Amino acid sequence: MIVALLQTFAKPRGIGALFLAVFSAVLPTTAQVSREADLKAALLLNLSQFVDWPTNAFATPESPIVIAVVGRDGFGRTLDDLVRPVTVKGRRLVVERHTSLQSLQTAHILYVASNRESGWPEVQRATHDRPMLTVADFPDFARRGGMVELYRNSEDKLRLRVNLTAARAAGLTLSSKLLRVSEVIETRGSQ
Amino acid sequence: MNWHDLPILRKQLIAIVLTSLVVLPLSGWVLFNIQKRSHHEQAVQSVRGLAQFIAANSAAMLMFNDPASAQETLAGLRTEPEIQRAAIYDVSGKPFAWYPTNSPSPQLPPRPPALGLGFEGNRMTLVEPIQEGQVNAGTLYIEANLSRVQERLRDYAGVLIVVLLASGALALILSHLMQKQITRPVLALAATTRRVAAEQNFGLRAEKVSNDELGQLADAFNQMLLQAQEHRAQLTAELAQRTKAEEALRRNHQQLQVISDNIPALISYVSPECRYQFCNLAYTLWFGLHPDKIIGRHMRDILGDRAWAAVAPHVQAAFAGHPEEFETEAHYARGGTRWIHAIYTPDRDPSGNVAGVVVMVHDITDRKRAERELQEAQAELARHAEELERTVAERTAQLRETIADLETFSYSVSHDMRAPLRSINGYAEILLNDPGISAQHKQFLHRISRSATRMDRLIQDMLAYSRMAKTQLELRPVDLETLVRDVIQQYPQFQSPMSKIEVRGPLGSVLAHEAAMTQVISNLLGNAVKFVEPGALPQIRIWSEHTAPFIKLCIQDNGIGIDPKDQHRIFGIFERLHSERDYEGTGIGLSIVKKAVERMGGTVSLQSELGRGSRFCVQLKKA
Repeated sequence: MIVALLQTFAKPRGIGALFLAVFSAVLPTTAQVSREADLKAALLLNLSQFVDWPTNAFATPESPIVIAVVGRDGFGRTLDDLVRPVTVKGRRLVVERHTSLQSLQTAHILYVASNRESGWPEVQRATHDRPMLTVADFPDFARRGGMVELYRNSEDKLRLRVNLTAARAAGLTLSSKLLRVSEVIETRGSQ
Repeated sequence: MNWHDLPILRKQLIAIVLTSLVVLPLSGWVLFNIQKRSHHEQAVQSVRGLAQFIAANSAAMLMFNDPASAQETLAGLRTEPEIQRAAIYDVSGKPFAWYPTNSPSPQLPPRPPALGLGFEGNRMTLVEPIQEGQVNAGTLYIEANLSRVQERLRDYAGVLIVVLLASGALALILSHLMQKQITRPVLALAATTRRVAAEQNFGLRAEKVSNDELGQLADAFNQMLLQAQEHRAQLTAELAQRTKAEEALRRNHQQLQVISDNIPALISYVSPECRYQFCNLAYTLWFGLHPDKIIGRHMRDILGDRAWAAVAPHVQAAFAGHPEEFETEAHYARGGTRWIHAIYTPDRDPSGNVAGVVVMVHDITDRKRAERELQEAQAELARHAEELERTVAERTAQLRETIADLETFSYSVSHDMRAPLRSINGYAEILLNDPGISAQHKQFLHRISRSATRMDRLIQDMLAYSRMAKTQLELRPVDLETLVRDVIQQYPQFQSPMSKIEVRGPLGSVLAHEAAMTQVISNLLGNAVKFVEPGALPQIRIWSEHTAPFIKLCIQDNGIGIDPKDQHRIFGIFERLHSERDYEGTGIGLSIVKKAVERMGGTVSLQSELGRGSRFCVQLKKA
């Protein structure tokens, strides 16, 4: 399966094939951890298409978009394989993994794994004024100051919940197209 | 009717109608097609725009797996009546959302067809990719029905046909109206042209209505009329002038004929081919031919061969440019043999070539005869004259001898007569000195003495006269003043108180014989003091007048004067105007003066009136 995916991804256009794989996997609603992780990795990558970072978030116009993962994710090599052939608005994508915040220097998308749910406030404090799209899949992430929360709706479909206030505060602009397929919440004085 | 025979009005109308018939449908067709294409493109553009909008908005729905939103988006196509069906397929080609919304229509393709635009009758299909950035998210399929476009086009075509028909009709009406404006001046111009042609009246003018080409045409036409008018006037004037000139020429010719006819000479004009071009009446009479029989004929035909042979060289010379004048005896074929005097004058044209010869002939036959007779008469006369001269010479010689003898005789008689006179005078003196002589005898003796003295003077005068006549007088320069004063000195009667003589010098010198001149002056002065009223004092003035090469010596007195009727006589020998008793003299004095002056090559003149004095002048050559 993975090998088939990798072969498909060798072509840039082939990313559509990922969805084929993803949805063909999703639609039958067979809950498998690895499939769930693949799906989330694809969503994480898709998110990069709908976010505008301020110019000062990048050192140079060619600087890559850095996807940082904190905690133990279930993506395995999937995410790395997904991002390798992709460029977004002329920038490559780079995946970094961190076990502690100390090593976190620059990141444009920060995925907080569910095993680091307890550490979120700390992460939030460390990153709240930086143009960093925070993504997590644990409950109430958005309400707790996270920007994009991955959740399952009543039909058991994987959906997005977006905290627009938090994103704006970080200087990020989210595409209306993204907002249209997401549940949007706005918090007040959450900081 | 032939197209060329149609009036311009009809032609124009036909042209407009034909143009309208071609142009209006053509423009209608073009407009319709443009409209059709435009409608079509509009419809396609509209569907394509819709498709692009849906594709752009549905990418995120596909990427984040939100078919409900996609369905919702497609539901918005309700407002587009053309859109029949639509569907969004995911990347795997499965239907993700569709329109109409109830269920996937069986007419929808189960899988997305090839990308692009397709037409099938009124049905249009459009297949667009759905992409976000570089990511291919799915495919959009839209199917539209364009029958409404066709309907709108049909409506448009209907309106177009109505509009075209209306504008065609309007164009006809307008062109009909406009045409009048355009054709009226043309028709007026045509009418004027016809009138000009028919009436030959160049005084007519075309009316200028506008400033366009028709106006220019009218102007040009009027200009041409003006020129024609001027041209005709000029022609008329020229014709009149030519007629006048021809009349003048005819008159000239007539005058020439009349003049030449009245000249008694034979006059003709011959061309270089020796053919007559003109002849006068005398010419025709001479040959007894009508002028028509002469003009154009060769000279030889008229003159005859012999006469022609006589004049031909002269004719030739005249045509070579040399005027000829000659007399010859010509033997004419008509008119016999005549002497003629002919003048051939070459007539040169302006370039100097001989264009003809004027022949003028006089019949001098009579003159020639007269001349011959005159010559004969003159010869006779000459013979007679010669004879006469011989006789005269003989007689003159005889006479001269006789005169010489006579002169010698008279001289010797005169000379010899003085000796007896001196004897008579001498013996009378002796007797007078005798005391026994009575007073009466004394008186007789005085008479004898005086008569003898008078006789002696007469003889002296006679001798003086003879000398003057005979002697060779040698002329030398003589100073008149000296001579005059010497004469005055010699005679007491020329001196105061007996007379008063005034000499107004200088008198100049003349060529004269001194002794003869002395005789002349003393004789003249003697007369001047002698012929005065008794008791009057003679007053005499002497002067000279110089009229080169002569000097005139004048002697003016205050004497009794000479009656003009007697003046011609006084220089004659022995002529006396007064009796011996009143004024003594021999009557030879003035004869001697005249002879002497004439022998010296001069003249004597007299100016006088009775009782007013006399002026004698002697004119001699200046020395």
